[in-house]
Amino acid sequence: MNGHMMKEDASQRPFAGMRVLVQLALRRDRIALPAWVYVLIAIAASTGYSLRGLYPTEQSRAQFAAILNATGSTIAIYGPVESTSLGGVTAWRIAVLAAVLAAVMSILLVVRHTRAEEQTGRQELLGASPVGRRAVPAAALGVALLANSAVALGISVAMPLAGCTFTGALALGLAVGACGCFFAGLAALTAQFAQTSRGANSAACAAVGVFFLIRATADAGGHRWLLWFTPLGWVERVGAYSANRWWVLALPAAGALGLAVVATRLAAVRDLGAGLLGSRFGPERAGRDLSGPYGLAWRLHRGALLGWSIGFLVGGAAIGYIAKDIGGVLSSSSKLVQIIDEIGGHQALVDAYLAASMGIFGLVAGAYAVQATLRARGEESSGRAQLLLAGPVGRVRWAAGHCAAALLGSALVLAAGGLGAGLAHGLRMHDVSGQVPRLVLAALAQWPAVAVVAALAAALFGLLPARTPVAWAALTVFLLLGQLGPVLKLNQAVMDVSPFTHLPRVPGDAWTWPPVGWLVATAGGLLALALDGFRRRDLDLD
Amino acid sequence: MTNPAAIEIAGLRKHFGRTRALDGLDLRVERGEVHGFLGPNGAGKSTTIRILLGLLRSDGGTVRLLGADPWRDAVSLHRRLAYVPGDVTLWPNLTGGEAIDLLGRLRGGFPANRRDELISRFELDPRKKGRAYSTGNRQKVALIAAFAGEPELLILDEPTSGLDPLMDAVFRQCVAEAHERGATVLLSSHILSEVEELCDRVSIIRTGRTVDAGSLAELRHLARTTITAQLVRRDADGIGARLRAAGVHELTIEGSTVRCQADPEALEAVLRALTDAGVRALTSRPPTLEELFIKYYAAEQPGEGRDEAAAVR
Repeated sequence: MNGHMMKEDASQRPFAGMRVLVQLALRRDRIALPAWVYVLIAIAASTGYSLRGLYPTEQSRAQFAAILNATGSTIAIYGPVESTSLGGVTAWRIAVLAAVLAAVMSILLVVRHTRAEEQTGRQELLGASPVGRRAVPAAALGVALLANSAVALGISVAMPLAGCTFTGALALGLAVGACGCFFAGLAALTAQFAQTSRGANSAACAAVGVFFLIRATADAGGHRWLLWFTPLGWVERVGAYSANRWWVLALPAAGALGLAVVATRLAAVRDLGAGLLGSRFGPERAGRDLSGPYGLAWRLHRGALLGWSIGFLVGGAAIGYIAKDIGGVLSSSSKLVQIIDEIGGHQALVDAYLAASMGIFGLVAGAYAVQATLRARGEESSGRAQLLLAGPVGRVRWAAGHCAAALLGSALVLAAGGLGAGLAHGLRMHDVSGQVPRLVLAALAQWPAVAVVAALAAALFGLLPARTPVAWAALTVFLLLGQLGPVLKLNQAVMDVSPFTHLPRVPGDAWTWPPVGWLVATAGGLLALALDGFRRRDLDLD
Repeated sequence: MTNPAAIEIAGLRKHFGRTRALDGLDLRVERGEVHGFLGPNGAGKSTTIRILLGLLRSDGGTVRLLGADPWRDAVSLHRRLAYVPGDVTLWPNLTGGEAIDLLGRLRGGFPANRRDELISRFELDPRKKGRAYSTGNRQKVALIAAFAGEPELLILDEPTSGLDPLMDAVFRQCVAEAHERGATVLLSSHILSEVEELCDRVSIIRTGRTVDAGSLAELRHLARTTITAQLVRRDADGIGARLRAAGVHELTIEGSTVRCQADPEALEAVLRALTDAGVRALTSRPPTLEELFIKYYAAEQPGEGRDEAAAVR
């Protein structure tokens, strides 16, 4: 084939070169992607296996389900238990969690191979070779489809091995995989609009958050028709192990396909490197605040901080708004009323729900903290840090700016969540002045653990800069320990690994100060190690 | 100590894992001098510069920058110098003007008219966001920030690789002006005409070691002169043998045209042999910088150098 023919090939076949791109992506992700898929499958298998040991009989599971369906806090996070078979209880426990993880996996994957490539300029090399315009997003979506298919297949094989039946496992696996594909399509779209990979990731992850809130409101607030408007609700509506409604899978499949078509079309019509949003011009001179490392850190972090704070405020409001209905939804039978009274009455249920929501806030704020801390690493490896550090700026002062943004920023983000919850719950309870300070404090109670997460990310940055993604892995482990640990009755020593385990469950429980003190001290120690390590090590550019 | 040299490096060593980046490098730059820092890709120029800036830590040898320790006294030293990397990355959401002001303010600010004058000389649009600039324009941002502050020492690491010839001329003027006001400049560059025009002295490094240092005239002296002669007669008797005996390289004889290269010490004997044979026309060309650098860059292990292989061929 001569060169002329190859050129014609590329212009006429918009998907030319896709196979090579898929191979490249699989090669680059040969560790991260199998790890994600493995974790998702392992969650399903180990949950099924553990629940079989904990609730071996139909009767024990029925009792377990009755209590769960009476407590709004678990319904808000996981939805109601619809089937008391072993598979049903397992599916209830992991469906939403696995769907969210599959969504995040797919988003990070697609953005990594589309906008991030374009932003770093690597795609210029590819764009100059016979690669069709639509091939880049299409290849990323292809890899996402492969990964989600592996998850679906893995779950439908692994759950029967743990003792669940196959049909339900297949339904659950397909529901989770289809949800991942939907968010892969969404990420391909946000990658066309945003100019940075961070922007594309943030927009798609914010959508996951909004869809989660809609789902939580639908389940806990008793508006189940709302489930049809959120991909995370479709996972529930498939009804693995109960109704097994296969046709519901058509919703995420159609959504993913539609989003993929729009995204690849957009990729074909816009310029390389350009987003469909964002301006090229700005002020000619710097404002007075942009005069040193702290001013720059504020400038770099303020946009993300504003976005996260608004997200937490809205999320908090949604959570607070349905708090009053908790426990009133399904507790019609006298048996359940009795159970609820034993747990501490309606107020205790509402508090447990709010405390569980604060736990979720803490983990999500942990994601903000890791992202903000690792911005220092991004500044370093891109070479922007050396422009400042070749000026009269000390290492510690420079790094401290980013750490402060992570630590103070996560407190602000948590407070925004507490404020939203307090306002919404207070308005419905006619007690705004009482609920706002109560829930802002409850949200801030998560901060010591978030600070440990931020300090851990900082320590990796200071001591092992090439290993900073481990911070995300650690946060995922903390998430899984917190979400699965209590149901699987994991050993307390294992649970204690997560800083979030040590937090007081407020509102509801009494404040316990010693663990808070320990967490803050741990964070301080890690931070000192981080700054000292960064002061001593070589700048690591690439 | 009275006014030490701007840069004094002796026996500098640095390794990254198993790779030895610097292996006993020496470099001396006097105050007020424009010093060329040359070497093939991967020779260790940028590593040396990053050690000078306290961004990397040396593994051995001594380094003094403006009489102080570049690692320990980084912050106070950086007040007196400016640095332009070869590959400038800017903050995508900051405009060029904002980045210039930020970098300037870190060093205590600069006169606004000086900044604006440089922006117009370099023809930069300061309102554009960092992500919208081309490679050359990003370099201009760093160059304007560096020159506007009029620092005592300028460390420039291949600063013109993305500039067009017009802007390159502006850059040369700026370096010349800095030189006039007494600033010291360390210039790493592959553009040999730039080095020839701007630098008082040069240091050439290869595989982490200094190969040679001195003024260009001194270095030139070490390289061969290319000679082309038209002889009166075709196939003059024994001219080939006499020239070989004088120690020339790359000798070709085609009819009455003789071409060869001669080391400085062989020149006299070569000229005598040619005049004895009868010369109609003679051109002699001093070594170009390219030839000079190729000689230094290309030499591999002692005894199997590429230039020797070329001479045999």
